[in-house]
Amino acid sequence: MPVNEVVNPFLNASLRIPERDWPLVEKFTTTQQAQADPDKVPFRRFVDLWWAGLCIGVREGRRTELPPNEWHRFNDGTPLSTDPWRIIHLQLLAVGQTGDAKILDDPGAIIQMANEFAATGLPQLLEGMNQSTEPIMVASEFLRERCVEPETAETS
Amino acid sequence: MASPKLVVDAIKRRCADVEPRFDGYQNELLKAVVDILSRERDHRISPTNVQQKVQDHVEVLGDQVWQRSGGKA
Amino acid sequence: MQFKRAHVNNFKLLEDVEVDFCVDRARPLTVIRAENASGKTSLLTALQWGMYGEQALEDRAVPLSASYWPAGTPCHISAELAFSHTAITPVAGQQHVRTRDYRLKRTVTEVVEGGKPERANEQITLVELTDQGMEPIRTPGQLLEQLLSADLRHVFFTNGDAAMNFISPQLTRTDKRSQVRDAIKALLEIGVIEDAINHVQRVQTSKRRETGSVGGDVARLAGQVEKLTNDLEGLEAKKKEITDAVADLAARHEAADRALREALQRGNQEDLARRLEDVKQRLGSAGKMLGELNREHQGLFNSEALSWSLMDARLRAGATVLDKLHDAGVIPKTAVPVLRDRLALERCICGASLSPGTPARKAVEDEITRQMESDTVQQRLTRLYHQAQADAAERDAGHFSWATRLETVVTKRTEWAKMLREWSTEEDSIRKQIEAIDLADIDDKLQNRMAIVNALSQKREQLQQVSLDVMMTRQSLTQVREQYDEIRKRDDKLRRVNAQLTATQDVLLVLDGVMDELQGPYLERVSRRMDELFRRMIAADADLPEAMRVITGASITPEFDILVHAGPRTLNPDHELNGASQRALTFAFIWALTEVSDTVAPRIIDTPLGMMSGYVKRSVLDLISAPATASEPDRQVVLLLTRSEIAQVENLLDQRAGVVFTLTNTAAGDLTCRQDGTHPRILRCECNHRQYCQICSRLDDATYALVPREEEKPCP
Repeated sequence: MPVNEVVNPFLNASLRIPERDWPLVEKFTTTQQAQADPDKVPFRRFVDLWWAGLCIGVREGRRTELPPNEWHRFNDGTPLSTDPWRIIHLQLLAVGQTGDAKILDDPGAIIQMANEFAATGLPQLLEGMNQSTEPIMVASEFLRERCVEPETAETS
Repeated sequence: MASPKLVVDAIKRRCADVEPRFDGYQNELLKAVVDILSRERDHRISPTNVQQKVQDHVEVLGDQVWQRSGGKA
Repeated sequence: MQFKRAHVNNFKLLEDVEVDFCVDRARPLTVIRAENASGKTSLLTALQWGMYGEQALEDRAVPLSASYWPAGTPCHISAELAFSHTAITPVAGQQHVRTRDYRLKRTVTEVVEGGKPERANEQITLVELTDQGMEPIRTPGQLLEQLLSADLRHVFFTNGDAAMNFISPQLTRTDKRSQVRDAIKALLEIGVIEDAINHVQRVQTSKRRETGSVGGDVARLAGQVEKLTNDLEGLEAKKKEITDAVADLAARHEAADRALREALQRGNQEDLARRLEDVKQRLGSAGKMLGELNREHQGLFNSEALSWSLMDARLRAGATVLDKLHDAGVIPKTAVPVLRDRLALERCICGASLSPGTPARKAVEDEITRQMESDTVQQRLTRLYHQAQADAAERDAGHFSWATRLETVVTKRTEWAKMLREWSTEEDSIRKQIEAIDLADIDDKLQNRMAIVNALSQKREQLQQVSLDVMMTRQSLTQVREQYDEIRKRDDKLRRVNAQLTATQDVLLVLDGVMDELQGPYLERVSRRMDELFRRMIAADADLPEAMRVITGASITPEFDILVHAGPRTLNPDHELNGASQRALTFAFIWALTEVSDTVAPRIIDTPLGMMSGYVKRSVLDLISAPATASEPDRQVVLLLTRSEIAQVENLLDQRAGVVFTLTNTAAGDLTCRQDGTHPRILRCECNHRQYCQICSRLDDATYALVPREEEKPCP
């Protein structure tokens, strides 16, 4: 999907994660440790880890609400522009979650929803990675167990 | 101890190969060599003037050659 | 010569020991059973000392008295020997045989101070036992030398271990040749002949000088002959020295080569370096590949596939909402870009023509205008719907399967990680092999070998030069001699001296010829006999055809090297013979020497059967203890054997041994009974090789199936 055809409505939004999870988020992303070993630091950017948390939260169907002071704003919505499919997925998620396309008019609400889903999924993922010497493998297996694969007419 | 038999046999063979300076020279030569070896053996047991004794034996043989060969040697 | 009895007093632990020897022609063997440190070596030395005095001692600085003897206290040491000698003298065409009996006694007083012995008052008495009584022999040394020369000591009094020096790897090749040459020389009186040659040459020189003193050409030529003869002697001596040095260096070169080969084989450096480079390249590729796979793996965590795989239901729910909006017409059927594409193609999706001017074209243009005039939300909704449709279709086609992608990446990572581990192990192994190569050691060995090669090359060059000099000097000498002889013939005054000179030259000719014969054909005889005896001793595979046997014989070269043959190949007895065969070879050599020498004397051997077992042991014992045939002189063999040497050959000893007794050291740790006494000593008992008694019983007697010789009594 061409980037210039997708407008990022979330530029002014705040991507957040629970404050208590921030140290481990930093530990498992390469943002400030560029030469880190991928096996120990599986996620390249904060947004990647946030998104994985978001996916787990959505999979579980649970959102975690936190008081304002327990959130850590790690970025605005700019990073979402790098992967336009995230914009599409956030919008589809929001429409699917609410059942109403009008949610698309409220990007702030969409991001809030995403933050709360991420707040559900992140601690589980972080805890698993933190207890292993091979975080990438633990994260991979954790996520793989929760994957749903479509039933296709052909099996490859 | 007398020379081992083999040594005596070897001396006999070699003497037989020497040009006979006179009749019976090879026997005299054999006797001289055997005597010389006896003197050497004695000298090993008890020091003697073995050099002089050897010279004496050789000179005796030589004199026989001188007298009996008509000076042809 | 035959020994009858010996009596030793205070010689080491032989405090008061009587020994008797078998003189039975049919059973020529005397067996003295004694364990280690039970007086075997002391007895062997005592007998030799009795006969030859101090010259028979290996180390004169070692005390003859026992270590328990108080320092500063005189010790009276003696060795007595009763023996007989049979002389066979040709006279008037017949063989006159006469046997005489003798008795020898040697005594000395020794005082040991500070570990050093002082021996004094040595006396030797030799008497002949006649019908009239004892007749003293005025020159005992001379008679003993005649009966059994001191030069032959090592051949007739043999220490089984020391005899190994003939083939010992500890000695250089030159030393071993010397040992072999000396042994042969001693038996053949070669030393005597060499001395005779030396003395006759001096007579020759003196006679030449006499001829020269007459003056003129004769004097000049006599002088030249003498000078050239001396020069030739000097050159030949130098040539021999260089030849020996070359042989030694050649042996050292061989050894250095072997050492270098072994060091290099421990690590073939080039091959290892190549293999290391190869595995490092593979490791590099594996590392790169794993790096890429790591990044690919990491990339999975920000992939769209992960999102679909985890949020499939929710995303489809959203798409379904949009579907409904689309169905309701809220979301346009076709997006503007699609409409524009259709206009450009002038063909509608339904197939209708959209050429300019057609109504369908106008309808599409109006729709585009209408959509572009709608609000951004509408547009966003439209885009979202269409994108969702496309993505869902891809998802259904399996393009967004995160688990499959993960499985692929992880499988590849596992495979490459395994290869990396295997190649790392391989790298470690190669590095260890490289480390094991002691480069300094190889370097040392290379340098050593190079030094030897250089030295060898120089020596060979010197040898060539000196050989040339020898040849030229010989030629000159021959020419001058011819001139000299020619002139001598013509000079009457010199006739007598000339005759004497002629006689001298004839004597020299005979002596030189005898030397050549002894060192040539005689050596061959010793070699052949040694070969026969050796093959009989070790012929475990006698039933096999010649081609199947490993060892096919042994020989002595003209250079006095003892060689062992395996078919066409020559074995190195230092390294390629087992212990039993080495010992058998040594005995074959010594036995061959004694047989070919025609010297009749007792053969006394300490520990001959050590390191032997089975067939070799039996065949060696069989050979050395065999009775003399009718045409041979009486034979006497004395063996000092341990229990383990006797094991497995008891039956043979039953047949051959006329006298057997045992010597025991009272201080031995494994005796079952302790004897009275304040100090250790050697005791004799009459136990034969199958028996034990209170004196000689040991803890392991049952191992050798020994039986008590007398009724068992309690220990003292």
